Amino acid sequence: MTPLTVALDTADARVHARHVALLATLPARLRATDAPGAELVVVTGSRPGWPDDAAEAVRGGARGVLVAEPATGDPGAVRALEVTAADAGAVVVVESPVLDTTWQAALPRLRASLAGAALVHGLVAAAAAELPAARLGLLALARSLTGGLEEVRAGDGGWISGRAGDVPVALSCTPTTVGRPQLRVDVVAPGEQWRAVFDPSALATPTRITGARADGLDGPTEHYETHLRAAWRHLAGDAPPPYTLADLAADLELSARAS
Amino acid sequence: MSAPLGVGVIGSGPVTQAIHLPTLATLTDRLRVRHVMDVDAGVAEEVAARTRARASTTVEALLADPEVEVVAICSPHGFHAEQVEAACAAGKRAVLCEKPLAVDEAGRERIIAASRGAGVPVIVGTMHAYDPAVVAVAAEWGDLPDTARLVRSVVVLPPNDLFVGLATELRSAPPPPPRAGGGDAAALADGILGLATHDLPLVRRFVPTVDAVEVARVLRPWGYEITYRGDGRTVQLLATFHGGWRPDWSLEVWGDGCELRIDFTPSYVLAGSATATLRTAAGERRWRTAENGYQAEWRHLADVATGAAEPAVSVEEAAADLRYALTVNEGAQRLLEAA
Repeated sequence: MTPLTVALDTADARVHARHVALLATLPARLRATDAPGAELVVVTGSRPGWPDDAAEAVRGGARGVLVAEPATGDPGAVRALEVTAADAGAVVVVESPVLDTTWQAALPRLRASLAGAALVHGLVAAAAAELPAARLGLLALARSLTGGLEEVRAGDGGWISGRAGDVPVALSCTPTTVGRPQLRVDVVAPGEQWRAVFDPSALATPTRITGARADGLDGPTEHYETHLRAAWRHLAGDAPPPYTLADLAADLELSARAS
Repeated sequence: MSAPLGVGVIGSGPVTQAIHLPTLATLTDRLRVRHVMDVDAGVAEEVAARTRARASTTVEALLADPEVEVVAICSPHGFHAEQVEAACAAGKRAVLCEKPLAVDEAGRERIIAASRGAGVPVIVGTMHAYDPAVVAVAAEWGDLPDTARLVRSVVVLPPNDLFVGLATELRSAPPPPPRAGGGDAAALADGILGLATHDLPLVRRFVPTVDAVEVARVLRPWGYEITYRGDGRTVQLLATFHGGWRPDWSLEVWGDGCELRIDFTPSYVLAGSATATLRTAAGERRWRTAENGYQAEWRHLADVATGAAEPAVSVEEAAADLRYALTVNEGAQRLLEAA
């Protein structure tokens, strides 16, 4: 197998270093290069103009683009990027906790619980500079679980309130100045309570998803692969990612209301 | 060590049977149940017999008992004000009034006047405020009340009878489910004054004013989602009785340089204190003790009644806590009406 070549984005040293480490876990399929014409390109999603950068890369011949830590962006430009990529046959993968392997494994059971749930609630806490990206991550998880929120309200202080069908959904986003960033989602249903706790503090800390059922605690196998590595696998040719640019565009619109 | 104080209990329902009597059974060196009152004579007699106390069906009879030195008011909320007045007028050494202290401003004022006038300390049974882990972490949280940005209370509770059955063998009917009738307005008021009231005194320490209630909705089968702002800070209150078995009762506060999480134990069982975790740049510290908030609350009441301590929460402060809860309820009701 010839590895696909990857042009990393060096604009953010932290993100760059992380991707170097992640590529080292997929050495047969991906290889960083400084040479022009890389097959895969990374764009950092914290820059407002990243959708245009990504579109330019696609038009320049890239077979795939990884959007690292999306935090901002014009939803219209994101939707336009989706069209551009589809026309060119390129794949655009968005780094999102939705891609987390344990989350994906648990998702059918969580969705099954959702039908009669009394409440879905979630929280994200991150350093202020990283909060926009973290908030998008929480919104993406809510979308992944529910298929999308309705009657969404949001306000100062980072609260988001909506519903998924008949199920109330309450989300909180707050900056943290100490400790680890936090990301968690709870599904509270009759006879079944699910809690998903993501740990973004390390590259491969497994997400812990626990279900409290009538006969005790239950949960999926914890996969020591976070969304960060899963994103690269999708880009390297695995199945299409379960979080799309259309999803991201919709979440960017919601996020703007809660910031 | 002086003789244990005699306790008279007004109202012998599930909270008395499943919470206060088992709690007092762990504190017999300080407190002994001497008299139990209930309007149902059969309940009063059987519950009294369990503690070898006298039984009666009237507040007057209980208050006339000279062996009753402190009074616990565990009756329906609407009776609290008049019963606190009566206990104070009877010159008892201290009163423990279950939460909420009263259901309206008038009741609140009557209780303050009664306590001040007779010089009888009134302690409100907000057990979380007395929880040893909460008290310990409060001494260490520094300026967190000044810097708090977000306070989040989550109360996910199994049906009460799950824990009641582990705490006692009820003589009376189990705790009624939260009120189904009365529509959303009544359900919301029940939620705020009956459940959120456990933690609102703590919330108030971080967000002292209620400027605007922004979300107020009733959850099914029972619960609430309330979001309000005060002094630029956000409070999110979530609660549901969902039918599962695992309780999840937490309070979280995010501030500058300090973050707090408190995981409370369920009310009806002697499962020890909450677990309080304080995160700072220096790391995490955690508090937990074998004694729970009810035990600490009763121990404190004994100290206050014997003059060994001043009330940790004065009746004026407890009344301010009640006003805060009433303000949240008023804002929530307005929002509900407007929806």
